[in-house]
Amino acid sequence: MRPDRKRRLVLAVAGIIIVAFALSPSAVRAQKDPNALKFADLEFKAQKPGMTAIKKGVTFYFKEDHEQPVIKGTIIIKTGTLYEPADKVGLAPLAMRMLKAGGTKTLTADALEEKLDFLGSTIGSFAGLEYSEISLWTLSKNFDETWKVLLDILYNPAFDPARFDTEKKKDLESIRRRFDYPTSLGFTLYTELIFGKDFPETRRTTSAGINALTLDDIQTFYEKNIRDKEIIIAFTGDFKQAQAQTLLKKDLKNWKGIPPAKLDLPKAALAAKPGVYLIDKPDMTQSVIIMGHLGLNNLDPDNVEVAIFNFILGTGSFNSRLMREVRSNRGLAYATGGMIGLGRDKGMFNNFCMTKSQSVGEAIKLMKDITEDMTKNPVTAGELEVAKKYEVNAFVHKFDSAQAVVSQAIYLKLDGYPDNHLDTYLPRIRKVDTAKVLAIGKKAVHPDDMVILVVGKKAEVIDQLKALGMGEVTELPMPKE
Amino acid sequence: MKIPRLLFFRLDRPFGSSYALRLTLLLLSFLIVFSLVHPSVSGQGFADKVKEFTLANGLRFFVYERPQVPTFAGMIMVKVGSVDERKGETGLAHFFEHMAFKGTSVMGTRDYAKEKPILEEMDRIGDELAAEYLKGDRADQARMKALRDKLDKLQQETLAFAVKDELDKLYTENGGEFLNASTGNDSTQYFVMLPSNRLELWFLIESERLKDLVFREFYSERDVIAEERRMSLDNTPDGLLRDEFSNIAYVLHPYRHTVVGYMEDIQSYTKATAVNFFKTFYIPNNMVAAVVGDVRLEEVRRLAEKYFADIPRGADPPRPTEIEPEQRGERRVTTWFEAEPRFLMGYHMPGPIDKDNLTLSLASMILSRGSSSRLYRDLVTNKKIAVSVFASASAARYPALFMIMGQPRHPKTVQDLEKTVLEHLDRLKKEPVTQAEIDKSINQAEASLYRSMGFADNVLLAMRLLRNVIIFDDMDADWKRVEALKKITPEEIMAASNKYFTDSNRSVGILLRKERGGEK
Repeated sequence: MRPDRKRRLVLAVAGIIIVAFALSPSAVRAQKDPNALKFADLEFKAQKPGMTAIKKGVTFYFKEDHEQPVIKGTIIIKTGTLYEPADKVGLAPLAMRMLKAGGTKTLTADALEEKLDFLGSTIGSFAGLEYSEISLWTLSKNFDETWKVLLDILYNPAFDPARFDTEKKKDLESIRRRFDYPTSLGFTLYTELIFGKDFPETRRTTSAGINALTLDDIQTFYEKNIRDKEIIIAFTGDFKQAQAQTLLKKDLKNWKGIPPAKLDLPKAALAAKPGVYLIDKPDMTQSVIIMGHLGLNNLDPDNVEVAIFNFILGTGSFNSRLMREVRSNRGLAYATGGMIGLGRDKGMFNNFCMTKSQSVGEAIKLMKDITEDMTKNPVTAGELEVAKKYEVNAFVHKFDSAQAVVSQAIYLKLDGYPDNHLDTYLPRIRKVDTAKVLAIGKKAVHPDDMVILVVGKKAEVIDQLKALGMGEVTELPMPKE
Repeated sequence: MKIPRLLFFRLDRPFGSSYALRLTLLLLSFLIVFSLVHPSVSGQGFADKVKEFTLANGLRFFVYERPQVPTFAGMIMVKVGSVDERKGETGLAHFFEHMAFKGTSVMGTRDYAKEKPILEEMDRIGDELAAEYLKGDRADQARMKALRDKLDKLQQETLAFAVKDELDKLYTENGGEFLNASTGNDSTQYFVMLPSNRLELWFLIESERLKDLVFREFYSERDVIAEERRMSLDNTPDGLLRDEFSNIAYVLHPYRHTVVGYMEDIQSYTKATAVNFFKTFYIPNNMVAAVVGDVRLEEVRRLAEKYFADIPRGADPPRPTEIEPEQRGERRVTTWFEAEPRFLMGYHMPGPIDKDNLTLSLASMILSRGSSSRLYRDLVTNKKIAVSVFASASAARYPALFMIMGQPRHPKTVQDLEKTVLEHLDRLKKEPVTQAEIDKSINQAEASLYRSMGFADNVLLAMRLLRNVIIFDDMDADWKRVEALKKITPEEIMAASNKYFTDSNRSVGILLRKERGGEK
């Protein structure tokens, strides 16, 4: 056989084999099976924002992004509701809102709003627990004017009395509307059961408290907690770093940057007696169930590894046990989830679902079994693998915009995470094994401490709750506000 | 979650992660503003950045190369929503969207050959059950229970072959984030963000669920959707009010029913109806796709040909034949819930093809866009009648409503709120708005075209792009509409206000607390 004929024959035979294989059921299946795909490695390096000290007590984080003619700027102040006196709950958010709502010494509140709306810019401010923000969003062409307004708000707030009355009345109405949604009622009261009513993270506004707040309180809060305090400034978007630095040096030359007072905050301890609690909402056809206890500290040695535990328990969507069992296998709920949360002293361990009145008992038992199992038995190798692959492959999404890169870096730093936290994240995830997941379960989940809150129609759920065998059902009164 | 508009989307994988929740909030805020001016993220329009190609079967692809971060968003938007459902089948578009996550003959099963006959047996029983259910008060409850028990038993048998939720697992373990789908009145969309080296995975999974979908868990999923309805409509004040309001504001047009559908219909779809729905609407010439992020046009084109080209083109789907009759008298509904009062008001208005659609859009901005707007300044800041008030003009596939919604501030009532809103609408009829108000609104509309950047940008860009195509058949419709605002005159706003804001064209819905006539 001549070499070329031989070669052609070989090719023809190979062709037949390939075609036959391609048409075989297993080959067809392989073509339709995503598990058969192979992927090139992802070229990716975790991004970091730029950071520099403008002066003592004024730090600047930045990341330029010129794709859109837009600038977002944020000033973070180390103050918040944890800094409120215990008898002035609600002061921090009101003060932060009044910075803008109350106008400035050069712009009335009406004129200030008119100006920003005309520019298409926004300035917003809010108070968090430990940190509060004033932020601006503007087209880059309008940055100068918007920045001037923000500086005016920061340096010269006027706290207009008429606007103070409006803002207080908004707060009073929010209190009236606080429990309009069964879920907001449930999560508010659950948090209170876990930490107690007077815990700084939990205490909530009352109408008497809001009514008692005065403009002097606002002025005092501003002077004590905002004016001249240590701040972090973040810019992302269509600006030039060098120009921004020059601007900040000039405009914040006289800002003192004083560190905040050291807070002496209490430690968390489970406030409610473990057991079953009920709030009767006679109109409801569906109950809200929330169960759990205290969680872990932000800086717990397992604060990365806990993501794997949480994924398998309840944050991994349909790959989590709660979603799989409560929703997918049994159709008991549309929304369900659960996690060990991290917090200043402790976060919360919570698991939730919303289910029809008739299946409340079944859902509680199921959720309880799922959480308890994670303290007794190792998760499967398959569950672990999916959770770890997710963490590794989805890591890139943590850096999907300039804003995400900057804001993540700032808050990790503020919460006390080490500078190399994101560098060590994946190596730590890769090391997690089933023993580690079980150890986290044993450490952080305490079935005997479980507090179970149900918001639903008592007449339809009470027998199911009694049948749980968890002792008396404590009925909580519907809070007045 | 409060969704202050009537035409809305349902996101169907809630609370999966904090990212998912953040995205949900963001998408909702995006969609809410969208109703005003179709705002969003990229101001100069898409035309110079987005490349388009169409497969022979009619499937259009839009590719936006954004190489900054090695991720991409893939989205398929199907021109089918609750508006395409017939009476007795409400909620089917949304129900089908749930089915689209149940796998194929390869994904989601260990042995489809053995699973298939059980699924077929379930369909036979499911048909019997639906027929019995539809007898209404004459239905034989004992027989229904027996049939349900049988279905449960067979469902358990299928689990022996099931790989539960494998589609979700495949995306998730490959770094899929924001995996979700949503159904709206006008469209259904499926989306996910993936690392850019997983582009082929997206093509394979999305094409397979169009070519080889298996309707697993068809009967048990009803329970999940029933819970979804209880959670989002029946046990929330805004959901309840919105549902009942739609039922009076429209008498004929299918915008009348909410996306999730009536509970009675959810319980009685048959598999055959759902399959027929799928075959009618999920055809390549009735859908558009976007790939946004760190991808290359040529690679997208190659993969599109490889995975989607063999899906046959279908006949153009039927569209709603109902035209909403002219409203000839005010309609009102009162609902009761254990919550503080809420207020909705709607006027029928023309669709986007009519110039007045844009004119009313501008009117809505002058009324409530920003804290210096007329309604906010007067009702919230000065008179303190309300804590929130918001106006929106619809821009949907069919003519819908100009909406005003608000929450009164105690001790003011919904009646106080309504009275003052009506005074403002009267003012629009009698006095021309100022040019400064128009200029301000246009500036805000332009700025809002750039908003939302900074989080899940690729998903939002894809959503905006495809919605422009589905509703307006123009990827730059939002930008062009903002440009067109500049030509609207104060006199035109006055004329449109007189034409549409009439007593007989008005529907009003209020929600009150039962005891003491409405409040605590």
